[in-house]
Amino acid sequence: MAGEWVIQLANEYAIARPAQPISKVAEFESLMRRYQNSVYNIALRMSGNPEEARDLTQEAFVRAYRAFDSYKRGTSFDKWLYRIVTNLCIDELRRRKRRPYIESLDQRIMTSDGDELDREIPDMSHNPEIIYDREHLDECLQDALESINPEYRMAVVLCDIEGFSYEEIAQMMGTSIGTVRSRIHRGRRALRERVSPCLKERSQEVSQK
Amino acid sequence: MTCNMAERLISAYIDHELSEEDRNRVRQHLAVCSSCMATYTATLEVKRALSSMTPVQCPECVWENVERQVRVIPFQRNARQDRSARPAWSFVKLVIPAAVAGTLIAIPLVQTLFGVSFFGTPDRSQPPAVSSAPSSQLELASPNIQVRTVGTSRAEDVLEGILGDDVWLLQPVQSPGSAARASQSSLDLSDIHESYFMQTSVPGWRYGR
Repeated sequence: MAGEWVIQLANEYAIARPAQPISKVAEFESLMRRYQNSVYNIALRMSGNPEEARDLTQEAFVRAYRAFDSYKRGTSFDKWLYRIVTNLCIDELRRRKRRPYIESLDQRIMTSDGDELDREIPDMSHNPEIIYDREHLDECLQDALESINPEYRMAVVLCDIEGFSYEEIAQMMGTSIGTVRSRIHRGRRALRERVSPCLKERSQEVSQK
Repeated sequence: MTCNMAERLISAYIDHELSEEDRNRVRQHLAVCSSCMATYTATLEVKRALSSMTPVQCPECVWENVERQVRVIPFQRNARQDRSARPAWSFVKLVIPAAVAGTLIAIPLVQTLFGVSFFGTPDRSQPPAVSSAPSSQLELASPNIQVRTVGTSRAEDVLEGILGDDVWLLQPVQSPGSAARASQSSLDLSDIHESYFMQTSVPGWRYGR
């Protein structure tokens, strides 16, 4: 009896339903394409790993889509989205801390096509001209970012890389402006200690040239 | 202002996130304290280095992966909603059959005892909603459905999905991962827990609210 009732309802709902005038997926896709580089950038600076950053970006957008009905049209989509990104990245990094990501440099790389490639590890030790170039400084900054507390890291990334104000960051991180100020202060202090040697060597290199 | 206090405010000073009064106090302190001035310079360098980190591009595949997942979300969401409604559903499952059985027993009794007729001539001009389909089958709308695989689901979850707000048509498959027969236009619901279906979308129909 119940089975027939379900079938009848399913029949009516699934077959007789008219076309929808507005596509939710299309609207979401348009917004996602606008913000995906920025979200990926945050995820990469937070995780330090391109594959993990891609997964975090995907997961953030899937979560955003699930909650898309709660997004109020006409309000700032990026702040709403970055709140999801912020929570996801911090949760994921805390989880990863308990289960650290380890990748052997001897391990072969699997491509998306299923092929395997040998890992090429560049030997930079005998090439002083490129040691302190942009790439090296990015690497130094990334290593320094990964060494600090995830909450401090997120506040610094949102402020210095994405250019948000303390008030905006407080909304995204669900905290007070005072806490944001404290996190940025502590984050930059820790970064200063780790990055200053790279910056000093780089400025010496530039002055010698 | 002490050095300790100034040091804690330097980041907010750089970001223009201090009140005018605090800003003036920090500025006056920096003018006379070389140690704090060095901290200010180093912090500013870190901020500038982070701001000039090379921006990254989100991989192209991200939207495809997100789309694949958001297309199947309606099932997950509706399945959760239906689970939360199960106590009420259980109640309906018990009460409706009991009421129907009671009515079926009561009607002939009342007719026999009191000579009352409850029904006129049956109107057979309107076919039932699921007319030609056997009770174990659900007729599908169009034989020309453009099959678009987005995954497989158990029939139970699929029906929960249909009963929600989202538009889906379904094609039966032998098991998850096996190819669907596009010509088949009914779902065999003889074993609702064991059957698998491929979810398909209908051309011209739109997702969203």
